[in-house]
Parts: sequence; C-alpha cells; structure tokens
Amino acid sequence: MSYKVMIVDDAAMMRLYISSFLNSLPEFKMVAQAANGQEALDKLSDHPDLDLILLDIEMPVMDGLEFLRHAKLKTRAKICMLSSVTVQGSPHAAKARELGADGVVAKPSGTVSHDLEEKTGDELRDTMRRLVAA
Amino acid sequence: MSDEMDEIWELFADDGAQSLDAMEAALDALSDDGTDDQVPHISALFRAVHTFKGNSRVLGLSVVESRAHLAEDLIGLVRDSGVPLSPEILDLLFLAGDTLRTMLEEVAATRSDVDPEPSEDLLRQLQEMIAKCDPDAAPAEDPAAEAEAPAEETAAEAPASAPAAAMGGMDMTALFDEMSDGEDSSSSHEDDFWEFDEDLEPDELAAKKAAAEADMEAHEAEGPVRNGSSAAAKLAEQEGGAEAVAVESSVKVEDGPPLSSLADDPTYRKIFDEMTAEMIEKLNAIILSDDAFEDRYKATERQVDGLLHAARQMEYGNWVSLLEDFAFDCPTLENEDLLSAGLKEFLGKVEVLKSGGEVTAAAAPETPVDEPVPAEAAKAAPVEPDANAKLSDDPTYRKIFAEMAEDLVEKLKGILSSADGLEECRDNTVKFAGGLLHAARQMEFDNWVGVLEAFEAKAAGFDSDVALKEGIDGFLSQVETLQKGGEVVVEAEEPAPAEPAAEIAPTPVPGASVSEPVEAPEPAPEPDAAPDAVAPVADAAELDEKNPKALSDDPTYRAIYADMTADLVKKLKAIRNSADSIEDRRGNVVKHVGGLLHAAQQMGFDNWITLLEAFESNAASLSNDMALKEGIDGFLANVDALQMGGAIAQPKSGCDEADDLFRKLEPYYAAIAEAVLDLDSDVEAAQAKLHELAEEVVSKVEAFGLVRAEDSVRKIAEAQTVKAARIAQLRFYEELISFEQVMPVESSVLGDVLVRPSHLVQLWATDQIFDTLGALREMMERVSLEEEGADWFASFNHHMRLLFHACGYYRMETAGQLTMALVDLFGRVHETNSVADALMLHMARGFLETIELVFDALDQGDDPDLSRIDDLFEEATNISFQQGGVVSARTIERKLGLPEEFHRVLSPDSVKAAHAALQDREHFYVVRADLNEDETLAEKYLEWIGAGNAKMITNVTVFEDDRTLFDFLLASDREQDAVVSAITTMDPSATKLYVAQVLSPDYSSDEDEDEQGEDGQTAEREGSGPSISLPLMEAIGEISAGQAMVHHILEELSSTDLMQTIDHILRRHGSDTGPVLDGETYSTLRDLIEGYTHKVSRAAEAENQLNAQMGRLQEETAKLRERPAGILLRTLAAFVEARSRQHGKEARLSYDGEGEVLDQTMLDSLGKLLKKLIRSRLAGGSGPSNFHLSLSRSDNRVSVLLEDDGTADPDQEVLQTLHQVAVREGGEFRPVPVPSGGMRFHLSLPVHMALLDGMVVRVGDVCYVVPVNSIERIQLGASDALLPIAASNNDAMLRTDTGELAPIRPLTDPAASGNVVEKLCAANNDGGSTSNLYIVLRSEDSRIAVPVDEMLGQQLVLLRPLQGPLVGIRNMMGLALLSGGEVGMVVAVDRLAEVA
Repeated sequence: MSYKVMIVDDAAMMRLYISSFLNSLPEFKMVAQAANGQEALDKLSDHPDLDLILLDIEMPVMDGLEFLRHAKLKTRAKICMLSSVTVQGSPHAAKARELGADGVVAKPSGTVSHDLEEKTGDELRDTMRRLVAA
Repeated sequence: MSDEMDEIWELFADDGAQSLDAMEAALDALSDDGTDDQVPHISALFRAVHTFKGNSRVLGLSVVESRAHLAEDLIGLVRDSGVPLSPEILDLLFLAGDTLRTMLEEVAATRSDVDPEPSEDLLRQLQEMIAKCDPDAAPAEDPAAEAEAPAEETAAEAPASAPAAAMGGMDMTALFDEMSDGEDSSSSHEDDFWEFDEDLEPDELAAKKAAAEADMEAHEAEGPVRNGSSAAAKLAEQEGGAEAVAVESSVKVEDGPPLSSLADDPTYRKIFDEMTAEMIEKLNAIILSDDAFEDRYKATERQVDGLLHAARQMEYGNWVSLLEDFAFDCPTLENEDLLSAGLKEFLGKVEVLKSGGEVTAAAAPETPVDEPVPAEAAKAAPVEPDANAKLSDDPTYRKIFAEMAEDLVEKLKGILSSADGLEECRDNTVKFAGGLLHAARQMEFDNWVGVLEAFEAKAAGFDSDVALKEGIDGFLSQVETLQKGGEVVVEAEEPAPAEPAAEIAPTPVPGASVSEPVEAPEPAPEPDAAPDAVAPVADAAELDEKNPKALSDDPTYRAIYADMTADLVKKLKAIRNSADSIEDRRGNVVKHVGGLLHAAQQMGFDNWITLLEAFESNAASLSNDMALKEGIDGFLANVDALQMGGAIAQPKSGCDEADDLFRKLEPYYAAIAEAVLDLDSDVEAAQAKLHELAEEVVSKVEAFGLVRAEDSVRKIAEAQTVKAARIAQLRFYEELISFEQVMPVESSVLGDVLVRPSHLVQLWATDQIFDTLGALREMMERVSLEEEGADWFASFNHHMRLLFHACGYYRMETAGQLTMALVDLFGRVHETNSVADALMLHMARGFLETIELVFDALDQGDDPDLSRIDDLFEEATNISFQQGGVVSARTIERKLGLPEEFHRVLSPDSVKAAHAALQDREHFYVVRADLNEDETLAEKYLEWIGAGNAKMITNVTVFEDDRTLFDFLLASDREQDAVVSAITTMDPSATKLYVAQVLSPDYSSDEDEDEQGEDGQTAEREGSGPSISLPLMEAIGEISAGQAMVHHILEELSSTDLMQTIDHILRRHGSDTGPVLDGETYSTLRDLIEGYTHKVSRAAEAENQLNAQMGRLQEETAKLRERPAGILLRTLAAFVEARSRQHGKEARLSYDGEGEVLDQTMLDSLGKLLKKLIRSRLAGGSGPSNFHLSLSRSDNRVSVLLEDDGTADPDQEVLQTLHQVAVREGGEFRPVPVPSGGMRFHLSLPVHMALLDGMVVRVGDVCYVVPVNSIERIQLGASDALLPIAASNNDAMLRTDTGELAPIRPLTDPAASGNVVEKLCAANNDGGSTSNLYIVLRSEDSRIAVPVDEMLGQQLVLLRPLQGPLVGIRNMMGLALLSGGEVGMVVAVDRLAEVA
C-alpha cells in the first residue's frame, strides 16, 4: 500500500520534479496535483483518502497559506509546506506552523529546484515519512 | 507586657540612633558644599528629626521631644519658607543632633525622660533662631512646658509614619498604638488628613476626606485632638465615609493649651496652597469635562467644600467668604451652562485672591453686590452665571493662552533646528499653529486669530526649507510683537478680510499655573430641538458665526476627537485588565464610551455613533470577566477599523452558523477541562467521561465537516495522562480556531457576547503562562532534548503554542511570530531525526529568558521592554545562515545588486552557491522564463544548466496577468555574449526565454563586512544584545581558565633558559669525561635552542594579550548578566499592589537597595522566593497593608529584610518551603514575629556567578582564593610577632608590621585549627626561626591574619556558589576554576572574621 499524495505548486516543472521524486519512493504515490490553492481545494472532495499534501506557498489565485487555513478543516491528510520561502525560522515558516502545517521543508533553489532531490531529498523524505506515520 | 516594653525601648534606642545618624549624614552633606542640590538632604534631615521627635513623644519623653520639635520647626522653615540654610543654622542643628544623641543614650539607659536643664541653652538658641527666621511666628514656648500630657499632638505636627517607614525606621507611633490596644495612643492621622492622594479612587477619597473632616471638626470644637485616634481613623478610612465620620466624631478631646493659628505654620500654609492649586485644577477639569451634569455639579461641591473646610481651619477670612458664597450659590447653577459660567467666574476670583488681591464687587462688575464688603475679608460677589462672559476676561485662561503661545514659539524654534524632512516640518508647523489658532478663536483674540490664520494658510504652501525658515521667522517676530502687547497688521495675502488692527492682544501674564488645555473644549450638550445636529460649545458657536462649517471640518476638532478616541482605547484596555469588580468595570465602560459617543454626535460621525451606541446599549450583557474582555476586544477591533478609515465590521456570511456552533460547544469546554483533571485520580472513569463528552462534541462539529476537530477531541478521550490530554485539548481548540478564522465571528463586536475559541485559548494560556515558561526552561536546560523522552517535540510544541496564544492575549505579534519560528526550527530537527545544535538551544534559552521578563512585567501591570524580541526574531530568521557558516543573504543581495524580487528569498544553499561564484568572479544573469506550457523548451533549458554552462542560484515566481513566469538567477563563468547566444539559440523568439538582466556584482570580497553586519547594525545589536545565559557564562569561564593554564605553561617555558640548563648538564658531564661537543656543534645547538626559546617567548607575549582579552570578555559577559536590584524591587512593589487589590486591600511596599547590582540568576531566585512569601502574607484575612524591603549585598551574599505589619500568622507550610529552598541554595531564611504585630523575614542567598579579583594562595595541598579587596597587607610573621592568648583556648594573635593585633585564623578545617595555632606558638616558644607567611584581611571593623604556605598570584576568577553537600563547608563562599586547571576554594572573609 502506498500513501496518497497531492502536489500543489504553480510551476509545472516543479510538479514534475516532485512527482519524479515521489516515484523514487515506493511507499508514496502521487494521486493528484494542482496549480494553485483554489484548484487544490476543489480537488479535495475527489480525494477524501489523501494521506499527504505537498504544498507550495507562492501561487496565484489562492496561495498556500490560505489553502492551509481552509484545507485543515476538510482533510485529515498531513500537510507539508514545500516552498522557497520556508527557510527554517523564516516568517513564512513561522506562519505555516501557526496555521497548523504538519511539516515544513524549504526548496533549495527557489521556486523551481532542479536540485531538489540532490539537496532536499533526504529532508523531504524523512519529513514525509514521519508525517504519514504519525 | 514587660517583654513588649523591653522591645519598645530597644526599638526606640535603635531607631533613634538611626534617625540621628541620618540627621548627621544630612547635615554633613549640607555642610560639604553648596553646589549640590540641597533639597533631598533637607528633606532627609526633616524626616530624620521628625521621626525621632515622634518616637520620643510616644514614649512620653517630653523634654527630648521638645528639643527635637524645635529643631524640626527650624528645619521646616528652611524647607518650606525659603529661609536660607546659614552656617549658624547648620551649627545649631549640629548642636541639636549632638544633644539629642546624648539624651538618647541617657533615655535608653534610664527609660525615663531627661533633665531639661542641661539642654535649656539649646532650647533657647533654637527659639531665638526660629524667631529670627520667621518674625511672624508666635513667640516660641517650651513645648515641654506645654505638654502636660506627654503624648499630645500639637497643631504644627508634620507628616509622620509614612516617611518614617519609607526610611526604614520603625514607626513607633504605630507600634505604640498596637501595644496599648488603641487607648490614648498617638496619632499621625492628622498628617494623612491633608494628603489628597491623586491615586485614590473617588470612594476612598471620600472616606479619607470624611475622616479628615470629622477630625477637623473635633479640632474646631474642642481644640487639639488628643492622640489616640490613629487606628480608629485608619480603620474608618478603610471602611467608608459615613462610618468614618461616626468613628471620628467620637474621638476624645481634652483641654489643652491654646492652639496657635494653623496659618502660622509654614507647613500648613504650604499644604493649603497645594490644596488650592489642586482645587483650581480639578474645577478647570470639571469645566471641560463631558461627564453628566449631576456628576460635575457634585464634584464641584466636593472640591469647594474641601477647601472651604481647610480655609476655616486656617482662619483665612477672605477665602472662607469667597468659598462660602460660592457654596451658597451653587444650587443656582442648575444647568451645564450656568455651572461652567459660574465656575469660570469663581476661578477668576480665586486667582485674584491667590495673587494677593481682594475679591470685591468690582471683580464681577456685571453682577451687583448686595451687601457691603468687609475690609478685612473681601467677599466674593454672588456667583451668577454670566452668559456674556468671555474666556478672555478670565485671568486663568489668559495665562493658559500665554503659555500656549510660548509653547508654540518653542515648538516652531524646534522645527527650525530639526533635521526632519520638509514635509514633516510643514505638517507640524500647520498642526502646532492650528492649536493656538483654535485657542485664539475661543478667546476671541482677533489680532492673534488674524496672524495665526494667515500663517497657517501660508505654512501649508511652504515648498522649500528656505520658505519654511523665512515663514517661521516672520511669524515668530509677529508673535513677539503680539506678546508685548503690540499690534500686527496681517498682510492681505488671501482674500479674507484683514483683521482690524485696533484689536489689541492681551498682555500675557507670566507664571501661569493652570494646566488645563483650552484647545480641547468639549462639545456642549445637544440642543433638545435638534438632537442630531452639531451643537458646538458656546465659544464654538461664535466661531461658527464667522465660519459656518461643521465641527468635523475643523482639523483642530478632528484632532481633539482623535485624542479622545485614543484616550478611550487606553482606558478600555486598562479596564479590560483591571482587577476591579465586574460592576465597576462595566460602569466605567459605559461612562467612557458615553463620553466619546457624545463627541461623535457633536462631530456628526455616523459610523462612530453607530458603533458606540451599539456597544453602549449592549453593555449590560458584559456580565462576567470573559464577556467583558470579549466585548472590549471586539469593540477595539472596530475602533481600529474606523481609525484606519474602514467601516464597522459586519457579520459575514456563515458566521451565524459558526456562532451557533461555538455557543453549543461552550458548556463542553469546562466539562472537558474538569474531566481531564480527573485523569490524575481515576483514569478509567475520566476516560469514560471524556469519551462521552467527545462524542457529544463530535455530533455537533461533524455537521461542519471539521474532521480534524473530531479527531482531536477523540484524542483527548484516549489520553492516559493529564499531560497527553492537554496536548490533545489544545489541538482541539486550535482546530476550532481554524474554523473561527475562516468563518469570522463578528457578532461580539456589537456587544453580543460569545466565547470565541481563540479568546478562550488565550485566557487559558495566559493563566498558566509561568508554568508554561517553567516547563520550557527546564526542557532547555537539559543537555539534550532527547532526555525529555522520545516525544519531546509534542511537549515542546504544546508549550510553545500555549506561549504563542498568551502572546496573542497581550497582542504581542512579534513575540508570537518568534515563538512559532522556534517551533519551526525545532520542528525540523524533530521531523528529520536530527539534533538541535548549540546555536538553536542558545537562542531558545535567550528567548525564554526575555519573554519571562516580559510576562513578569505584564503580570505586574508594567510596560514590558519588547525591543529584544525584535532582535531575536531577526536572529531566528538568520539562524540557518549562521549554522551554515556563510555570509548572510543580505550581503549577497547587496553584492550582486539583486532586484527586489530576489530579496529575502535566498536560502542558505543559494547564498553559499552565490558566495562561491562571487569568489570565482563569475558573471550573474537573470533569465526570464515562461516554461509552464512548453516542456520541450524547459527540458532544453535545464539540460543546458545541467551541462555545467551555468549554476542556478535561485529562482522566483513572477505573476504576469494570468501567467506564472520565473526569473532565474544564474551564475556562469561564460561571458555575456556566450550566455545570451546560448539562450537565444534555445528560444530564437526571445519571448519565452531571454536574458532579462546582466548583473554587475561587487567582487571586492571583504569577509569582515558581513561579520560587521549590514549598516553596522549587528555590532549595535550585540551591544544591547542577547543576555548571556548561564551555560554560556560558564563556558566562557572555563575557556578563560584554560587560557590561563596555557598562559602559565608558556610563561614557564619562556622563562626557562633551556640552553643554560643543557650547557650546565654538558659541562657537568664534560668535567668527568672531557668535552662531549666540539665548539661548532655546541654553537649550532645553542643557536637552535635560542631560536626556539625566542619563538616561545613571542608565543607567550601573544598569549598574554589574549589572556587579557579573555579577562575583559569574561568581565563584559558578567556585566551583561548584571541588573540593578531596582528592577526586582519595582516589580515587587507592583506585585504587592496588584495582589492586594485582588484581595480587596490596598497594600504598599516601600524599599531600599535598588542601586545594588545583582546577577540575573540571583534576581530570579530572589523574585520567586519573595513573591511566594508576599503572596502568602497577602492571602491571609488580616494581611499586611505595608511592607518594607531592604536589600543589601556584600562580596559573597545578598541579604533581604522584609518587614510587614500584618497580624495574621504566617503560613507555616510556605515558611518551611522557603527555608528549604534557601538552605538548598546555600542561604538562610528566618522569620521573626514582632510582638506588636507584623513579621520580619530575613533572607540571604550566596551570590551567583560573580567575577572576583582574587589572590590565589596555597595551604597544604589546597588552593584558596582570597578577594583582593579584603587584603590589607601581606607579611612574613617572624616568631616574635606571634602572641599566644592562653586565656582564649590557645588562640594566637599576630602583631602586624604596623603594630596592630590580628587574631590568627587558619583556612584549614576549624577542628584542626587549634593544632595549627599550637604549632605556631610552639615554634615561637622554641625560639625557632619559623618565618610564616600571613595575609592580613580586613572585614568591616575586624582584622584577621591568615597563615598560608605560598602565594600563587593574582587572578580574575569566576565565583560559583557552593551547591549540594559543599554548602556545608564553613567560611567558604564558593568555588573557582584556577589557571592551572585546579579548583580553588573562595574564602568568605566576613565569616572567617566573625569566627574570630
């Protein structure tokens, strides 16, 4: 059995990277993706059994923090922020924690991180595993 | 009783000596030189003599008292009547001090009064001097002769017990009251009578005044009041006005000598003047107040009655007439207009009288006087409201206007010299001039109005600094002319008609004392006929005739309204946090809101009227603390919105459902909390109850789809422990808060009370904030967080979130953000199974230390210092950069000249990559990419980067219309042409991918630049920077000790001539077997070793410098932890007041010793112990109303003496706990009951973490550190310098080189000390040549000689207190790590001397 994951990021490339990263982890499977918070919110009802949401912050239409406020009410899926502005201890990271993000990881090289796996792979993997196990 | 009397006499002797010491000290200070401010010394002198006199009187020592009394009178003339302190007076007071001291000694021995004869000369001199200084004074009689009843109070009595207590002296009066069960004891109540305390609540003031009046009436009827009413009066003061009168009316009086007029006494005259000034101020406030007419009328009566009463006592005929007439006419002031007009006229007369004039009918020409005016006591004209009266007729208002004009001149001059920008200067100029313009209009000073209007219009157009300066200069010159009574013709720069030059401005009267501003008149009551119309005040109505605009068009009125709003906000916040009863708080809310509502109606501000009316009409529902806070919060939120130009928040869609849910859940909060507590006693039953409650809650929240709320409430029911349940409980509340945030609940704004989860959690968190901080601190003090258990983060997160909510309660946003930033930092450690590093732990400890101080201050009602929180937040944001050991993101931003979109987005990895590229002098490009829809191009681009053509530093999202684009920051060693060419090849159209910017980096690498910080701010931050935690301080101490050890080794090495040693060995060897080395080899070897030795010497020199720097660092770090004790003492004073209020009392704490400097840890320890003690004392039914705390510090110990006047027995359990804690910390705690009531608590603790300049000595194998400042001399004690004292258990004395004798105190175990002395003496007796080394130490008046084996040198050491079993080591105050790595015992010289 694999944990079901939704990726929410406005960068198609980023979604691609994360998706391929997930493919390298047999226990996770991407079941949905969205390009902004509103789209993700709309898709939640189609995926009531989601286990994990990987969520960017800076997105058009509805940003990640706003999505977090609403999604928390509707889903039991763990929500992990994955953004270039969630450097540890940063104001965005603090806000995400305040709003109840279950985990926070920073993208290493901005909004599109071709070196995601290389530099963040371990941290993201460890965080994802701990979140779904909790 | 005899024991008690013994104690009284002892106290009299002790306190008398203290008073006379204080008298002498003050006289010394006054005779030193005349340049210092004499006032504090004169006050101290007066208090000292006054206390002494009072105590003498209590014990019936009439002769002693009489001399002290005259001395006091003489000092009073200097203090209050401007009599210069001449050398003759000083000499006489010195003589008085000496005489009183002699008397004190005699009295202490005989316990009876002294023979008057020896001091009659002093008596006569004092009387003559008083007569000389104050010819108006009645001829001084011998007060002793007057005093048939020794405990009699004379009219010229001055403030007694309060100052005495403040000085730390015993208030014998109070003591005697207690001892004699209230019978005929002396009273200091008369002093209190005159003190109208600004801080008192109206009812307390009324009680106080009622008691005072009763007292005065007794004076009037019978002459001097016999002492004995103090306790009763105080009781009456506490119990309320009416009862107070009843009690005081029964005060016994007896015949006594004729009382001279109070008016003869300068003290009373001064007090009367103060009362008059106070009445004027209060009446002016009443004129401007927006309170209800009834309240204003009553307040007027109270004020006038108060002064009338005093005037009668003082026999001030003029004043009595004026005040009586006004009081008589008061009932005719039957509406607001009449009241205001009457008050203005009355105040005008008061001013005339005050200035030495007489109030005659001429003072009020509009109203004829019906009766003749007695020459000696001019009567005020009957007060008739004069509708035509102008403000400008009133001298008080004229004075105020003159002051305002002066103030404007000063402010404008300030603007001229200000460095502010033009715009700000211009705005301020217009604003300040507008204020006076408004006042000028009120005063109808047309010439001023003309000048000010012209200037205001002109000022708005100042478009350069030159224009501003010229404009202000010109205006100031006009003002000067007007102030001198001249005329100014306003230039016709605008179409407005020029002001008639014939109108002459008034000549300002200097020295005005009334401080009520006239620029903020309150709107008058609305006319009945037009309730909605703007109804300006009478003055403003006249203004409107000239300028028919609405009040809301007038910027001055708008500014006044804004000020009133700010004032209301401040008051509501105070009410929100007040400990008063809910009824009082609700009443105050209504009163204050009503005031602004009235103003809003005058201004015609509809939004404000709606908000204020709604809140006022719903005030009745603010029936409990939570409801009141809730209501105020909601109201303040709407005030915020209106102030920012927004509209009142309206309920949003869906909020009704949310309201409904929260109302349904309300009963469950308490039920769940109660059941959680039961987990401690019966897990199974508690779980069953929680399960039941959880299912009921679930049935209510599931309709809203709040799945996480369902889960968390069920988690509460699954918890086995209170701790686990509380974690789930908080999570449940937070889920509800999430719902509240997306479904805003606004109904409470209009007073509809609703328990919002966010507020509930804030209250919950605030209530337990100190427990929360304690738990977090304990967690942080462990070496590793893992010690907390596998689930440490759950606990950490829980407590930090509680802290976050408590910050929310006090609206400390940055502190809340920082809390969550730390949650994030530690959360990542937890989520990645890593370990928190030292930097993070240090930051967290620093934060906890700071935030605890913040909450402590808030708890005491103080304003906390939040500046450190901002710095810490910045540190938290940058911690990842610090951990990475790279330069900061801001440095990279600056060096690359990055566009703003890249600011604050660089991660540590990005910074590292950019930094490396900068060092390699690579080029930097910003490439704009639109790749979302073109995967092929995206692949090409990334492939190009992946091939090593460029490094991707970072990228940011750019929203352009509905497209999401990216800007990539690239670094490449390729030149611009090559990069542009490659990118163009990928997208020849250059629409989806192109080089948007080529950056011009600053390659001048300067690593120090980053360390110094951007804008030089880092250094500044560090200056005010993080307080040093205990572990860091210890670490520095250890590094310092290690450094000293290296220093020691290097010094040894560098001082050794190695070649000489080798040479010596070789020669010795050679003498037997002949030369071993030939000359050349020898020479080469010598050069080699000398070269080596030279290098060691240089290393030693360098290390020596380093050592000095380490010493400085250690000193600085110790200083950073130091705080003045005043911080603690002020906090405790506030604590006493706040706590006592909670118990319905009015207790106070006075203190001394605020200047002592203590380590933060010591302050914390003392604070905890003392708060616990004070809390327990105040909790009792008859708890103290006065505390006095004395704090002092010696080298090794901090001592606190807390005295109180509570009669309740102390809580033995608390005393036991405090004793245990104090002993555990190496200190002492001793409660001592005072027979007459009250307690004394002695608490002492050893100093923590102090730096000590010590001399290291060795005795046997043990090293000791002796504080250098206690060393008097070091000497070799020849045998003949030792003197055995056979009569004293074989003790020995050392005769020092200067001939003094000092008992010998060995540092070794006291049990063995006898042997040591014996040995020393034996050596002496044997005529041996033992030449022992001694250090002679001094502690206060004692001197001791300590034999040592060796002096190892002076060293700065970090003193650590003895802990655990080491606490029992006698005569030692702590441990210190020494330069050689060994541990030294630090000698407590005072204790060693005590033993001697």
